[in-house]
Amino acid sequence: MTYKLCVDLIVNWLKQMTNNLSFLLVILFLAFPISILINFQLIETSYLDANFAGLSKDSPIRNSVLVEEGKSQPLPYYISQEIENKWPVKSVYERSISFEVRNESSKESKLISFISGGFKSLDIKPLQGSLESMEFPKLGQELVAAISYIEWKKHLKTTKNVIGKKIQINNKTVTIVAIMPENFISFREHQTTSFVMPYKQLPELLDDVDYSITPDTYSYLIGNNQVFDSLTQDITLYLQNEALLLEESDILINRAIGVNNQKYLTVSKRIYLLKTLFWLLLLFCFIAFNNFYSGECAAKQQEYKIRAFCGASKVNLLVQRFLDMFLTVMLVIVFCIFCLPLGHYFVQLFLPQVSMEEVRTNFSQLLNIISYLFFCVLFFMSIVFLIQEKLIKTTFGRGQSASFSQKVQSYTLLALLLSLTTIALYSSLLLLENQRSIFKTHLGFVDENRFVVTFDFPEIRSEILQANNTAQLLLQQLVSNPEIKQAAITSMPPLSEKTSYSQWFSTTGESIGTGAHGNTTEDTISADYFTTLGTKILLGNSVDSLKPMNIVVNQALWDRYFTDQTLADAQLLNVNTMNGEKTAYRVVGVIENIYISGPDTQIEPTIYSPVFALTGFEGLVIESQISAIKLTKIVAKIIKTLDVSFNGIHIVSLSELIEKEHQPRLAILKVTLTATVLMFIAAIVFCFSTIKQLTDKNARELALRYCEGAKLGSLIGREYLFFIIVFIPIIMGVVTLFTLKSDLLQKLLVGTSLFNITAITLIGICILLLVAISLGYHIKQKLRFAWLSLS
Amino acid sequence: MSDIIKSSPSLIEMTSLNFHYPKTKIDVLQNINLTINQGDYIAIVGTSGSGKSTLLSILGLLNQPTQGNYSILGTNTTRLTQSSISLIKNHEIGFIFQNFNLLTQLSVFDNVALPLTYNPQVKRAQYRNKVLKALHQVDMGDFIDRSPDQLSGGQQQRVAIARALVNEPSLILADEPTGNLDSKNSLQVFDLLERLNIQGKTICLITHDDAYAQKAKSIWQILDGKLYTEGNHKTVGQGSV
Ligand SMILES: Nc1ncnc2c1ncn2[C@@H]1O[C@H](COP(=O)(O)OP(=O)(O)O)[C@@H](O)[C@H]1O
Ligand SMILES: [Mg+2]
Repeated sequence: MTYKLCVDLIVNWLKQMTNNLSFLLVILFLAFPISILINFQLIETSYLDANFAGLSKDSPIRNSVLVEEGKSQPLPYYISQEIENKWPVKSVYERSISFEVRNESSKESKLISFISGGFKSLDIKPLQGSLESMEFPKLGQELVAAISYIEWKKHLKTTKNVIGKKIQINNKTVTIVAIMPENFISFREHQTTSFVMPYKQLPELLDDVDYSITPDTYSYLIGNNQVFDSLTQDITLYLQNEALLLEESDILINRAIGVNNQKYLTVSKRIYLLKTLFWLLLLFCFIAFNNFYSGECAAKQQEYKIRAFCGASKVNLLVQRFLDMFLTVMLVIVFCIFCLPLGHYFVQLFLPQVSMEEVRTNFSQLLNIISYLFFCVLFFMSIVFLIQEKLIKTTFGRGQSASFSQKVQSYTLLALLLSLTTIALYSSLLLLENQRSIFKTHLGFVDENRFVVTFDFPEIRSEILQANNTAQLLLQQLVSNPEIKQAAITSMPPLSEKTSYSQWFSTTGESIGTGAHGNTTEDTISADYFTTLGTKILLGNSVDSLKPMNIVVNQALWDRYFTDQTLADAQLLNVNTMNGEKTAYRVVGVIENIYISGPDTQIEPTIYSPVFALTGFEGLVIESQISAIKLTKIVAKIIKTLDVSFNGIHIVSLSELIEKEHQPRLAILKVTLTATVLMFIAAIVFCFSTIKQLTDKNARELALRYCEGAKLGSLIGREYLFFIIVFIPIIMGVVTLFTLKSDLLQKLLVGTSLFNITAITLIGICILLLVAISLGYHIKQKLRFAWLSLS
Repeated sequence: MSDIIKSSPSLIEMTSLNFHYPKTKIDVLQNINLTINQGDYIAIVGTSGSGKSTLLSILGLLNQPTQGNYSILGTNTTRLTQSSISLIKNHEIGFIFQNFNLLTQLSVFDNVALPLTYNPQVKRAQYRNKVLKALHQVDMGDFIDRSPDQLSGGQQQRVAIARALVNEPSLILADEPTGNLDSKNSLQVFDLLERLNIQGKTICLITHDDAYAQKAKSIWQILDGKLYTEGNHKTVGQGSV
């Protein structure tokens, strides 16, 4: 009996569903944002998964960065010391550099990770040997290293007594003291480390006395999870109170292990924004779903009543009620699962920074999310059903009157939905406008026929050959080639993510650049850099290789530090990192701002100083009409003739770089458009369906009034007035909420005013028009058959 | 249950039955005495609001009398459990309504098969035969796969009748079955009911149409909740429109 009943009910349910396309569509609407949110969740966990370092999800380690004016950098020593004093944590630094490694048989450049300990706390146990001397290296003692499992397997597996073996790294003798565990690949994602060495021994390897923290160093804190919670909360305020941190600066503590901080911040900011957007969209779809499902519930109740006439007992109906609900929830879940690949595709579109191949799907997590989802939807649907059961009295008559509360309920939902649509449309309009202005921004350089040449980070730190003329020589050889029109040297080619810093002060002692720690952006260039790039010189001249004490600054620097000065007496002070002495340089020119990392980034005050000898860190900018491949051949040939160690030449056209830089912004544009279109369609559909439901319910009343002599216009007007009375407070509430939460959007819309009353009013009027049209249409339809509702 | 049917001469017996809706004090039905035998065809007429539908709902076990006795097939209904009430509704009673009450999202076949779901004696494999048989009885055999939306009012009502017949009940309760139909279709429905009565079904019909009421074997009139027998058809004529 029960078996047959269940089969019958399930079969009937399936048949009803296949005939109920609009309900399927509504479920799809609901499933789409859910699947996108699930994808975001998966990305986040995958992104934070540091098992390449042999770390588990709850390893007691946190990435910690200092953020100043939107730029992240490793924690300075004095801050990490202060943190160590205040909280029971240990700060750890890590930097990875390639060095030449030599043993009896081979000589190769290999990646070495310099880590300042913490292995024990992180439960990283060596396969052989001990990490004790790595954890606490003594200065001046022998250099030690742990060999990675892969390196050991490849080269030294057959060698007995690997522990204690001596190798040459950067011409220094280093003793191998341990073999790293197999699951330790690197301390950075997508890299393979060959050796691990104590961070403290890095200066010795580099022959540097005073070793400062470079921007490519990562800083971590090791402690325990409870400490991190309190730390994360209090740290910024504490350091600001101790005057160790500026007002606008911030210390970020997060789980991003071994990932580029800047990228992590951008990606997580984007994910956060996208998540907010899709939560909003989900809310929207949920309201729409609820609206529709309420109608379904009414139909269901009618069905249960009919079934009762056919002999269904209360138990039977209870079973059916449960089955209906269960199956619908399952349908939602199945739709979500089917939407996952689609969501995956969209997320890829929205987040070009994250290559999705890196995202490993964690099935147990997925299962967790889905079961969680199941109970949430089930709970929600039960609530809606119960409410509907209380509200709706099934009648077997024809013309009905909608009760006041029903009307208020329906109109409130509709108004909420439409208010959200208004805001969404408005936001996306702002975004579009903002993108338009960004696309129009003059970048401060010309990209046609321009190429950027970069080289790999030099692997061996060769002694800098002072006072040679390699730079001049290189440029001469380049320009003498008939295919090359112009060429220039720069240490920061546009859009190539290369940065270089030094310390500069104004004559009044003010530190130039971001933050108090004196990091000034300094680009070392050849004289014709600006002409090669097509950058306008606003005042004075370019740098000159014969006048080393002359520098050029950009407009941002000039406007900030030389407000009322003339070029003739403009000076800046440079700090010598060796002895701390300050030398005065003359500012001989001001150029327009170059948007070195794209139009939506902040312009740094930048100093341009002349280049002399090549160190291997430089890049080139070339104007030429030939292809990048041909150019690569020419440049490679010329480089070979010079006595400079440049490795791995990369040539990209500047236009290509600009296009790539546009990608994330285009992605946001795509998200916005997708979401807006989705919302708008949903809004139209639900506006029509709600009003249809209402006029259906209200048919008798409308017909009566009509027959009593009311005009069509006044009937529509009456309903419309009712709607507007509900709509106005709701849209005002939503707009207020939007205003309060607008800082979210503001971050995305640099330099665009958020409030444009005309635009928002116009959209509101369009929406109201939509309601008027659908009301007019449905009421007119109903009144055509007015007699049917009354007879 | 089938033993009881054979041994009892009258299908339905109501004795001094009263009924009022919960939360109201007025008795909608007062002192009703009604006997319906197997094979009867009775019509109940009365003005709107006189309590016809209420009486039918008690006959159909949808409501319980507040006073008095109601026996169906010799069993006093006050003593029945919920599940046996459901079973009686399923096996012995077929309902026909003014507004058909078909499920629009299911096909004609599935609508007619609905009562079979709750009949434990019928296996799924038998559904097709039973449904087809019921549909043929109402001349709708060609429309099994249609949706009720695609049928005319008369056709829909015939499908609803087929649904009432599918479990081969002994009693058919019809509440103004032609209220939504034009005269041609109404005539068809009444012909059908007459035919079913000839085949042995007991029919209890509510109608406001005098002419159609004449087709019944006996007519009862309900007035202010009281039931009067009308041997003479001609005195009946106060039906509401
Ligand atoms: N659910 C109910 N609750 C209270 N009173 C009801 C209910 N249904 C009907 N009534 C009242 O019972 C009386 C009889 O109704 P009904 O049997 O539907 O009349 P009709 O003869 O038109 O079918 C009416 O006065 C009506 O107001
Ligand atoms: Mg009635």
